[in-house]
Amino acid sequence: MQTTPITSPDFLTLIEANKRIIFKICNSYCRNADDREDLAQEIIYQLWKSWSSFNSTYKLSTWMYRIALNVAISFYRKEQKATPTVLMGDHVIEIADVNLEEGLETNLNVLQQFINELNPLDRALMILYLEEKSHKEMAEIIGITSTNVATKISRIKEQLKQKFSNKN
Amino acid sequence: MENIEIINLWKQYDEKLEKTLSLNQRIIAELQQQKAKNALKPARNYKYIAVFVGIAYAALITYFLYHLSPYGSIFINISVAIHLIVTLVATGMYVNQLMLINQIDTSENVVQMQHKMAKLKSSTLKVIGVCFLQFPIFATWNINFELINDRPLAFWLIQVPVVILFTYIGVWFYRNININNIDKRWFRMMFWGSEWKSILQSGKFLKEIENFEKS
Repeated sequence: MQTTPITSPDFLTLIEANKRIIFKICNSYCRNADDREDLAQEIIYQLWKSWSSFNSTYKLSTWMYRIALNVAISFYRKEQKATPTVLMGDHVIEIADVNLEEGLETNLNVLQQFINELNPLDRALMILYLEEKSHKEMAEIIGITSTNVATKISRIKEQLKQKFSNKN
Repeated sequence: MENIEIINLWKQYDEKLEKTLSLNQRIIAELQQQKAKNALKPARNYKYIAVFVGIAYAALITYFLYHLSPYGSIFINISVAIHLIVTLVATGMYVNQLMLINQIDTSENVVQMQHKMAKLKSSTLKVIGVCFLQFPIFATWNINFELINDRPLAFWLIQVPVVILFTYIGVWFYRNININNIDKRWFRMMFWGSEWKSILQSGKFLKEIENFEKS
């Protein structure tokens, strides 16, 4: 059982440093705002639960991505929420109003839509690719060979190119 | 749009998020208490209940078998014994599932962990398959020596073929209730309804994971 409090400075630093990736994973696996909030809370909670058993033979980012993606995929596949949101109306990761340029926003929407249309495993690969993870690290996070990662990424990139060219 | 432009697009998004996201530490502090309290673990609870009911039921059958077997025919005793064995095997499978649930570790690689989860969920189908092995007892419990000796034609021409048919049906379902058949019509007719939906989806996902690993 985890004995370190969830508000310990080390753990909060980890979450602070990775809040963007948690946010992006939630956005990629949930369309509904309430679900996104539930998923963000679940990811943070599971990270905290596993924090004491972190195996230092792995990179911290590998460990973090594995947990976040596993929780997101399991959450996405569940029809009902396992644990309710802590406080309705509040968000564990707050977002201020974002003003994006029109072109950027349109392209981001196309990209996000493309990610959301992928199956849950390809979606995980796509996120890691966009985060510029090496094939080796992607292979360690996902659990397939580096060669398999390269083949799949090249296939997904081709589909993505097609998506953008159809849009233009 | 070229790959490099797509990566840059994602980077720009990331930079914007860096400026606009903030952690709500109050919610994080609440998480530790609330999540632990609300952790329903429905799958685990359901299986604990199944194990408890299975053990209690097996104990009851054992009790009746032990005390009433001298008064019953050998056929009814064997039928009840088969029912007891199947009940114990099914209960053992639930115990095994509980052990697997406790071994699930979210920090394992994605394919390994998702494979375990989907396999665990779809293993309920295996329990149902095992339960079908007791199907022949519905045709054996009422056999007695009077029937065999006094009405041999009825025994050999009706009772025995029915037992063979029930055995065939039981073994057929035992062998065919598995994820390889989830798209077949008979399977969908047998396991329709919301309570089976998540189990069948897990079976499909298990296939997806296996294909993902291969290609």
